[in-house]
Amino acid sequence: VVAEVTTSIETSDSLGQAARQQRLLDYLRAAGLSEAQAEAQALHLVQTQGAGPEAVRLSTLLLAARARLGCLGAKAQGELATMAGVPCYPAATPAAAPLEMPTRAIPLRRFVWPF
Amino acid sequence: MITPIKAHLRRLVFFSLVSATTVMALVLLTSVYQADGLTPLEMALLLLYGVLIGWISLSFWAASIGFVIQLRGRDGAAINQQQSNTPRAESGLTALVMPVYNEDPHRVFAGLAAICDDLLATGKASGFEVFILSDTRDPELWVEEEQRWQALALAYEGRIPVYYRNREQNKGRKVGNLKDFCTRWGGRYEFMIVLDADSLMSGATLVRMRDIMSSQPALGLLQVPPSPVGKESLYARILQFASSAYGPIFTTGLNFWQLGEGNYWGHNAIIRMRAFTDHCGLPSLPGREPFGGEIFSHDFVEAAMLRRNGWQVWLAYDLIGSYEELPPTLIDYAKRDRRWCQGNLQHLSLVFAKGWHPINRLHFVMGIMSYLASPLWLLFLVLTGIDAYIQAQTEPVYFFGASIFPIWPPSFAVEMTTVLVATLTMLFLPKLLALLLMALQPERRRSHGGLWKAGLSVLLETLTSALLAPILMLFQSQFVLAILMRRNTSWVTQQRDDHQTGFKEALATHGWQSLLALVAGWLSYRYVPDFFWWFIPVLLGLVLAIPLSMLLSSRDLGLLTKRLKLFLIPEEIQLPSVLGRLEAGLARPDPVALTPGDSRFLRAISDPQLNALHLALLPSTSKMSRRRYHELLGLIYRLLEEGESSLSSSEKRALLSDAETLNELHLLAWVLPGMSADFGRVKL
Repeated sequence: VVAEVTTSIETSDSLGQAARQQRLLDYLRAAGLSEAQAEAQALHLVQTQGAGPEAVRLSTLLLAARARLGCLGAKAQGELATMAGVPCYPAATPAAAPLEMPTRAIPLRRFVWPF
Repeated sequence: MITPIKAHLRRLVFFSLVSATTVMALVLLTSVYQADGLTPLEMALLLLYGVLIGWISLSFWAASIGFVIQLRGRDGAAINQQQSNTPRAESGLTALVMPVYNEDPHRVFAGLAAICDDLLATGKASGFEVFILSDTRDPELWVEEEQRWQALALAYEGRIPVYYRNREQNKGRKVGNLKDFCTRWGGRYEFMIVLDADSLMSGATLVRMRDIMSSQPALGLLQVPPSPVGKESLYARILQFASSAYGPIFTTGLNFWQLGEGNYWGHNAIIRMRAFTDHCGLPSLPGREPFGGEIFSHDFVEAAMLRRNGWQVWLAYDLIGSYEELPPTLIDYAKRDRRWCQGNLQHLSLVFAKGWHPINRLHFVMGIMSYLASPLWLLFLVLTGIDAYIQAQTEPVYFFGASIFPIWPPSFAVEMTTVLVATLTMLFLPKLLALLLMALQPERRRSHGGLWKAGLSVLLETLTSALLAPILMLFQSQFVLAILMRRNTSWVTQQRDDHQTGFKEALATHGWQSLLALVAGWLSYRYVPDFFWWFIPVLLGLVLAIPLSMLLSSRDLGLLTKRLKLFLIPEEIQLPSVLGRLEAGLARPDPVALTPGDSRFLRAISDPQLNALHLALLPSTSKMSRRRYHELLGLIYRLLEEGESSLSSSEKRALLSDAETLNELHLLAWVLPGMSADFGRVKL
């Protein structure tokens, strides 16, 4: 839904190259990485995108970071999260163990002596 | 265990006492009225009095019998004292389920942490699992619940599993919430212990409940009465004291006659999962709300359905370590009463349904009468006033025919005084019996601050409740009338934290009550002055309703009475470990707290960790419809151009509910020049 909006904002080049680099670092730090870890990972991410830092889009970098963080809806944490010491949260719910709970009728009647 | 013959005998004794008392009081009053023949008005008064005195004598005899049993110190009919309570070696899993709906997550999760710690301290936590069943709609609270669940689940990982789910749609409210749990995960558990959002239960009590269930295969549900604790407003402290001082004799007396046909109070109870899922699927009632539709007060009905299918329902009245919190002010209490009133009146259509055990019918009637008694008392008062006016207008005739000797009207002062004294005795004697029990039992005496302080507290509580009774009577009469006129109750969350009632709120709530009392007082003083003086105790509370409501909401006054050792309860003298753990938990620095002005909604969008957590907890959804797509797109544009404040709570929830949208919004937040500060400023 939002991809078009993101593209339009990025196309308008609202952030320069340095700002994009800084934003990526901020993102990695916000994810829990130390300064040194963040810098190393930012460099790694830019290099693995196969384009120069001036060409790669920030959203692409962030997406790659999120994939490595394991933050795309998967319950398992990714490599960066482990590096950052982000706790691996346990399963929110146990395995399904369904039971039938049929609706039971209550036969109403207008009046009867209750006892 | 109680044999069927003994059970019948107990009920015969109890209901004979109630019936005899009611009949005697009625005979006395009838003798007064029928001296010159019964008028239709007097017959109506007699009918009303019969119903009301029957209702009072039911409580009176329960309390009196409860007093005797408490004095003896042992009870053959107490489920907790059964010799056969030897748990099976292998019990299935027990789920501690807490349905929540827009509650304060800090308190909810601190409470659960306290329960988990207390359970671990018993060394018998194995086999227990915690399940937070969230129906929370507020997006801020939803995200906060997820943060706090993560912290709790990690803290107890490997010791007590803690699970969480938030329903996409809160269909069927609390009943639907529990049904969703049972149908999805019920097969995993042998028992479930249902907690309210403010419930606390000690570890030892939880283990004991499971053991009793495990050892009694015919037991479908075990209710442990919750003691109100933890509030500091004057109003709540008075109610806490009343519950602690008088409650035990009432619940003991209740158990005397209800036995295995007990009732379910909605929380702080353990339920056998199979029995519940097999028999407690609630239908919708025919017709429209408030009498038709979803069943509001489901607990009574579920107990009756269990019993209908042969399962026993017991009240473990002597099991301690079960707690709840009370509404802190009179107005909050009335708000809660409004909801309960609707739920109980809805049972009018269920009382006569086929298949219920007679005792379950009586439970329905008692629930209904808890609210219907108020308009009946009001009607009784009004009719008494009219009767007094008619009497005042009637010139006495002393000479009949040619007789020169006057015939004096007969005096019924003795009968009337007897009726009055009997009624007041039945209302107030249980309080004196509770005080007597304290005088005779040193431990009970000490745990209420000593005999003198407890005696003074009983006196002050009695005065306060006498002043409050007419206020509650008008509130409940108003509620009953509104419900009978089919004006529905919205299912609002009550305010649970301590807060003071301001003048404007008190005036808006009680103003009409005071005005009504002043008008009624003037009318009675003007036209029936003799009646006016009898009427004063009723008028006084109503005239003082505004300042009374404000004073009672005061936390300072509550704390002052605590320092003076008034209205003390055992839990205030010796803090139970689970309550201590809760206090400590709430006092600890809160790592999840927000700085003022911060928004969890925006943080769930932009914070990488929180966003990931939220995404991970979202249920997988089917493909989005075009309509939904356009709705979400509209919301996103609104967020970008007009900011967070332009979105309603449900619109924010819609954005947080779609994984794809949220994922993309997350990237967008980091692409914007000023990040989330830019929401509301983007020109597209």
